[in-house]
Amino acid sequence: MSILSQARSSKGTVYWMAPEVAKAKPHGPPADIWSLGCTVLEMLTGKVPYPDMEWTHALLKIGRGIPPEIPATLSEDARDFIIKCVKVNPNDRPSAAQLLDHPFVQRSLQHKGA
Amino acid sequence: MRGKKPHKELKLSVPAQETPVDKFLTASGTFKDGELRLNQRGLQLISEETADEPQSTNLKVEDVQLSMDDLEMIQVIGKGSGGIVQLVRHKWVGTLYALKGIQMNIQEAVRKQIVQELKINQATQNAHIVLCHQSFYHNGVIYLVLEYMDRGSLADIIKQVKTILEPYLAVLCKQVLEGLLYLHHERHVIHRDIKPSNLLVNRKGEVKITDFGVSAVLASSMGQRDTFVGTYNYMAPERISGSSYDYKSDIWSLGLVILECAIGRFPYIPSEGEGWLSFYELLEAIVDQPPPSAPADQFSPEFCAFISSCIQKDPAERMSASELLNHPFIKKFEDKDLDLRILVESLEPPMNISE
Repeated sequence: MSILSQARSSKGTVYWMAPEVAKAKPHGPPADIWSLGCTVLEMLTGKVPYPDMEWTHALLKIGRGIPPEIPATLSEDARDFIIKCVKVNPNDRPSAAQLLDHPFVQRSLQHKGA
Repeated sequence: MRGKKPHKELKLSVPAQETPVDKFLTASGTFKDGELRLNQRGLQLISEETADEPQSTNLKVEDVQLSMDDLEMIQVIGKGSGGIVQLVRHKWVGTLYALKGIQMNIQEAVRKQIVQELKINQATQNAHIVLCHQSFYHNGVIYLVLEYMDRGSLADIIKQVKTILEPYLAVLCKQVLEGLLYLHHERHVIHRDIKPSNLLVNRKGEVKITDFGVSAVLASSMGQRDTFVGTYNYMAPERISGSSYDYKSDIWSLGLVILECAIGRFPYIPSEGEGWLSFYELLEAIVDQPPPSAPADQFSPEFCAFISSCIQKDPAERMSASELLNHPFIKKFEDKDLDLRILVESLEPPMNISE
């Protein structure tokens, strides 16, 4: 894939990219888990991951394995959920099935079912 | 009998919109901010004292006669930086313009920048900056009536010729540097997106810088989305690495553009092909590796020194626009009465238009 093709296929989504995607390495389902963590972070903070950074700076940081900052103001469950999703090594990230058992998800479900 | 408890409804609190629409949009569709009014009839700056009798000020006589209704669309000539560019003709006078439409962003911070840029647009007068004749607002879109550059962009040119010889590069550089000198030293703005497609050319051989001001403000509010599409990265290393940057970052971009025109490929692409370098690796190379250089066995010492002066990794080591205008490479060809007219006339225009 040429550089320009890569650029084209990456339109607008840099801030949520997993490191292996950012570096154009082979990637699989764990890349979605990273993006999920970033999306949850965005909904809780109201900002994109790596806020106030130009896209090139964000891409460089992601590729270098620097996960997004998670504010201390979030709940312990939320922070733990996001931290697990944005492990740099894809093999260290939980699967979607495993995440369904995470307290961040389970606590909400229990509350709803009460 | 066991009664079933109702599910507790999930609630999501949505922050109130920063500013109601009626703060910046009148019922008749005029965009307003302070003394600025923008609609289909054009841009007006209304002084506070005569608010009851709106009068336009700071408008050139010729521009007062320009309105959206006077323009007829010929064809789309480009897309980029968050908008579409159409070639339009004045129905009565026959003059051709490039009409750029950009979706308005209603975030207050962006809107303030747009207003500021629209006011400054009125004052932009330089031979090497694409002129904005007028601006309009209609149905959520800001339109800029821009000077039409009938030979397209430098990107169009290098697609055809692959490389440009040093004498022509010197003439090209001089014009772009004069435009940058104006932006940096009179307007005190950084362009931020100097690249081949933002350097436009006309059949007279004039080169002008485009795509800053309103266009750039709106593009940045889209998260640089369009900058990432189908273009190499001309961004200076200090900007990529997140350090502060200034006017010298435009000089880096210019240096890469000129070197690309000289060697016939983007300087960070290996000559063997594009296969091994990802976009991330490109950014890392720009930040981590020594800068590219012009091969000394193919180019003059003056040219090699000029390129080196533009693409120093340390911005403090880069020359400014005014210093570069006095560089031996520029001076070398200054009195030889060269212009780009011969070059551009020998090429096909970007599209077929009968005038």
